[in-house]
Formats: sequence, C-alpha cells, structure tokens
Amino acid sequence: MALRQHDKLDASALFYTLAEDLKTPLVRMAYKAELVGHDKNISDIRLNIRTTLELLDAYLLGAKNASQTNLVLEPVSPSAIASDAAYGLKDFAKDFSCNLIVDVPHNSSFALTHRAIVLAALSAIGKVFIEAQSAIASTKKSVTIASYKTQNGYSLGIFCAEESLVINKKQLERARSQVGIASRPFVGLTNGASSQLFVAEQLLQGLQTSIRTARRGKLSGLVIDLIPTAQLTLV
Amino acid sequence: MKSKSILLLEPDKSIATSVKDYLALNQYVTTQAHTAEEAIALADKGTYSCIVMELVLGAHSGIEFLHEFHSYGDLAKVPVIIFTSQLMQNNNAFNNLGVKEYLYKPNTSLLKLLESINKHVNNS
Repeated sequence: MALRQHDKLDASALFYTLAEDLKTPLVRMAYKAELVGHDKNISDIRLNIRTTLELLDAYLLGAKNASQTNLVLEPVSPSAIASDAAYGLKDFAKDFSCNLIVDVPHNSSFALTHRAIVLAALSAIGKVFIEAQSAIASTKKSVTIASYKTQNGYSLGIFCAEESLVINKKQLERARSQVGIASRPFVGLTNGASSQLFVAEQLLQGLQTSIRTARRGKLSGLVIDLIPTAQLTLV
Repeated sequence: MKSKSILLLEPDKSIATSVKDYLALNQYVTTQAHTAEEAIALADKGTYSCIVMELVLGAHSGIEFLHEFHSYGDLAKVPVIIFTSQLMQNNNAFNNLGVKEYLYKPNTSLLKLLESINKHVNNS
C-alpha cells in the first residue's frame, strides 16, 4: 500500500522539505506587515520574520551542502566576509540594543573557501551572541566580529567581553551531544535552543571544518578557521 | 502624473495582492497574471513599463516564459525584474533575456522591489 512505502520517510529529508515550505507564509506575512505601516511594532515583526527566513535559508544551505564532496571553493577575503556579516547583523543587533564592533586587518588577505557558507555560518553565530547579550543586565552590550591571521591560516569569529557568556570546549562538546535530545542544548546561552549554532556547524560540515572556542585578548567567542590561499596576493 | 503599468507574474495570490496594493500606493497600475499563459496573453494585449515575475510557476517554468516573452520583438525591450523564491547561484544567468535584476523574495522588501522598478522603468 502507498502509506507503507512512506512509513520510513527520512526525518531530515522531511524537515528539508518542510523548511522550504515554511518560507512562503513568512514572506506573505512580511509583505502584509509592510503594507500595514512603519511603526516600531511593525518593524519588529518584519525583523523577526526576516531573521527566521535567514535561519531557514542557512539550514537549507547547510543541509544541501553537508554531504557534498565537491564544493566549489574560491579565494575570498575573510575581512570582507566579516564586514558583510556585520552589515547583515546591524538591524538585528540594534533591535537587541547591542553594539557591533568590526575588528578586521587593513591589509587584504585571502582564504580558499565558500563565501556563502562561511557568511551564513558567521551570521548565525553572531545572532546567538547578540541575543545572548540581551539577557544580561549589564548596560554595555557589544559583540565583536573579528577576522585575524593565525598560525595555520585565518580565523573568523564572534566575540564578546561578557564573562557569563564564555563558552569553553567542554560546554561546546556537551551542547553538540544534546542536539535533538534537549530542548535547550546550550543552557545559559540563550532562552531558546540556540539552533543557529548548530545550523552554523552543519554549514561548516561541507567545508570539513567546525566551530571552535577561542579567546582574543579579554574577549572570548567562537571562530571558524579558514585555509589561506596564495591566489590573488600577487596582484 | 500618468500611471505606469506593471505586469506581475506571480502564482501566489497573497503575495500578488500585497505587491499590487503596495505599487498602487506609489502610482503604479499592476496587472496580475498567475500563470505563464495568462502573462503571455496579457503582454500581447497591453503595454507595460516593466515585468515583475516569479521563476517558480505551476505548470510551466518562468524560464520558458522568459524565452517566449523575449522572442516577441516588440516586447523584448520591456525590462524584466525577477522577483522569486528561488535562490540562485548566478544572478546574471538571464541577462540576455532582458532581465535587469534578480530579487530573492525572503531578502527583498516591497520597498526594495519598488526602488528596483523605479530604477528600471526610469532607465527604459
């Protein structure tokens, strides 16, 4: 019977399809909200819809590329990705009364990577930190988006100074083990499931890398490591 | 001020109505088509300053519509804006078919759509 053929439907394949379909009603709502007006409440509605759409698109990009072995990589400027991520996050940060600091070197350098994937992953991590800051009583809230050279290449990351948001390696590993099990795999980070972090991890699977914890001076955060490339540096 | 006319090829009725209402607030008259066949029939009968179209249609693909539309000599000069739910890797894939801009709906507000229409209608 037809039903019996489908009773082994893969859950992730189903969610992929569901995620695609969730975008349409959100787009409809966003446009209806835009027609209504431009007061703060309407702007908040539109920002929330946009954030959700971005999360769905990031998930879909990661799901599509996670099992790819032939992703097309190209020389990309990590500083440019950091700047683009900051631009994309500015409205979200403003909504959470969080300052965004961009810390990138002046000289151009290039890494061999997939720009859309890294940008989506960095943006997803950024949103988690921005949202986590909002739950803290401190009046000074800021998140730093940094790009810097390391011994092995380059790192792109999201940092903050808030001690209560320091994530260590053990916490990150424990959170990874709780995905799909706990409703809040990362207790103490955000009020929600911090799914953006795991969406970022899925995105990076396609690049054979993952998020790691890092410190930068007095700041702590999460970074993505990139491989340098000699292409374009002779220009 | 004379109203400018837009042909909107959009299968989603809610989105089509939102776009039409928003453009009306900005002095555009929008004719809606929900299918490629409807759009071709309307394009044949009317005069439009711009075509705004979704790529993901029902029975036919938007790409088929683009090819057919572009083959009509007198219509080939009308600027086309792709306004789609389909995320594309190459935004310039259809430039040779009169496409002036590619807009991805989840990232595009109605205001951004209006700005794009204004730009291409004023340039044509």
